[in-house]
Amino acid sequence: MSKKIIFESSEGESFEVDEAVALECQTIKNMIEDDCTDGGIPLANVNSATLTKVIDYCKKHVEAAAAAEANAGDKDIYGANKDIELKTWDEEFVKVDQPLLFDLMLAANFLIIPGLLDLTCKTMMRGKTVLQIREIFHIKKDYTDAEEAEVRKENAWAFE
Amino acid sequence: MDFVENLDTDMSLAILSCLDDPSDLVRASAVSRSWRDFVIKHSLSKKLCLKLFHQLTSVDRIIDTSNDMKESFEAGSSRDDTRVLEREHRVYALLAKGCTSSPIRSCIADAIIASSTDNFPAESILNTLDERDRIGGTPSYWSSTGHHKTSVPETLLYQLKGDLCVITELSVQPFQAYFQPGTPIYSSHYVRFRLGHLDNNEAETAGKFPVENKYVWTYTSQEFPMAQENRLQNFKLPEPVICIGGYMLVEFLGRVQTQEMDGLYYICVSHVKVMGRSLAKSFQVVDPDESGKFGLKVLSYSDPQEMDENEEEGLSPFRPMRNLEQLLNFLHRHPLDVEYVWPESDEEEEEAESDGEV
Repeated sequence: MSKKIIFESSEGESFEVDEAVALECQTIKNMIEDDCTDGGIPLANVNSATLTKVIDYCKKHVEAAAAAEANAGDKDIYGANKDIELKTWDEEFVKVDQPLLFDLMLAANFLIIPGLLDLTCKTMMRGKTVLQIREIFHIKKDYTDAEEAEVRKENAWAFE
Repeated sequence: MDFVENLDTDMSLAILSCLDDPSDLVRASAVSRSWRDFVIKHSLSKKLCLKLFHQLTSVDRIIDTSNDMKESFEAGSSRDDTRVLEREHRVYALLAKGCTSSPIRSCIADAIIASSTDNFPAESILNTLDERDRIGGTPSYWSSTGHHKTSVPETLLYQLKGDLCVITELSVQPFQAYFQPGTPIYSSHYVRFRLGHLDNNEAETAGKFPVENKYVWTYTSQEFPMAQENRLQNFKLPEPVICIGGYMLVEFLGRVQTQEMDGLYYICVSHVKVMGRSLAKSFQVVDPDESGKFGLKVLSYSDPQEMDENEEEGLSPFRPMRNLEQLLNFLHRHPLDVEYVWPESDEEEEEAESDGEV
């Protein structure tokens, strides 16, 4: 039986996870190494909904890594298939509303889960137009139209 | 939530550093003043460029000839620093875009010289530009001179289509002498590729021999084993490599095939092919030095992804002839092809000229 780690969300809800899953978070890894995880880890800035998702993500990636290792001997095509499967899983995983996606990004940054940070950032910003980015992050346009046109002209190829 | 405005710098940096497409970075920099200041202040497009191609750390100055970036010279002022960073943002974003999105196509512009040639010009390096191993019934290949020793290497030197080219694929087809008894294939044990630039210091290099010493090679590939098989053999680079300076040397190491007639080892090649993204439209390399440092000159800020209309796809086998000897040789060897010898553009030019005279 592997060791368990207990997370506590901002609402005070407890989440028990295998140590291996918790180790996906660099921040927690450091805490485990420093042996200061007894009695649970309070995560005051991560709510339950977000934490549930974060744990899902870590579990899946721990399992995928273990499977990849088990098949390391005869990977080639099979290994590639696994990668595609995980990628598809990731794509499904981030099909959530914007506020949750944003919270996931903050949590990934706080807990230091590089894969999740990368995934959420790209989902929010990749291939998005300037208008879409302003909408997603509720950013007020502070350029005048003329200034914005000037900025766009600079590297016009990115706006076609 | 506007994270750039509301979160700490490290956090925003971590988020925006995830963007690995220069177009996304450029769009992010147009979102608002604070986003633009952030992207520029932290040189995010430069960082992306260096992450994509570490060799681009060799850019030691940027030469921008466009007039729309008016320079104000208040030496040392913070306004000046901002200008520099703004310009870097623009140029490196363009560079990253070119390195990742310019169309992939054949990158060889010309064959320069071979380390040796058995029969010049019949077995010239120029033949390796054509993918066919016979043209109009005449064999088309380059042949080295013969040696008793298998260890004598050979090299082929090419000029690429741009000072900056991201090389994605390298292939060589050894030549099978189908007209000789036993149809031997004159491959080599190994093949290796070097990329680099002309040595600027001509005074020092004028007398240098062999000719490849006139070049500075800033990239050397691994040695790829070559099969003694008559097919276009692809040598896969672990990752795309950027050629700074526009020259490529192909080295053939270890001879494997003797010619029955004289018992000497030869290396023969029917085709060398390089695929990649040429950045010729956007950039020029200026004064690369011994250590590989160079000036990056911006030629155009237009979309590197779009192809130039006047650019031809592929190489015409009837390239402009460089000298009379070459032309005579061509005519001699390709009697059936004569009617196509003159490229159309040349013909038009000549007509125009003669019209002018009348």
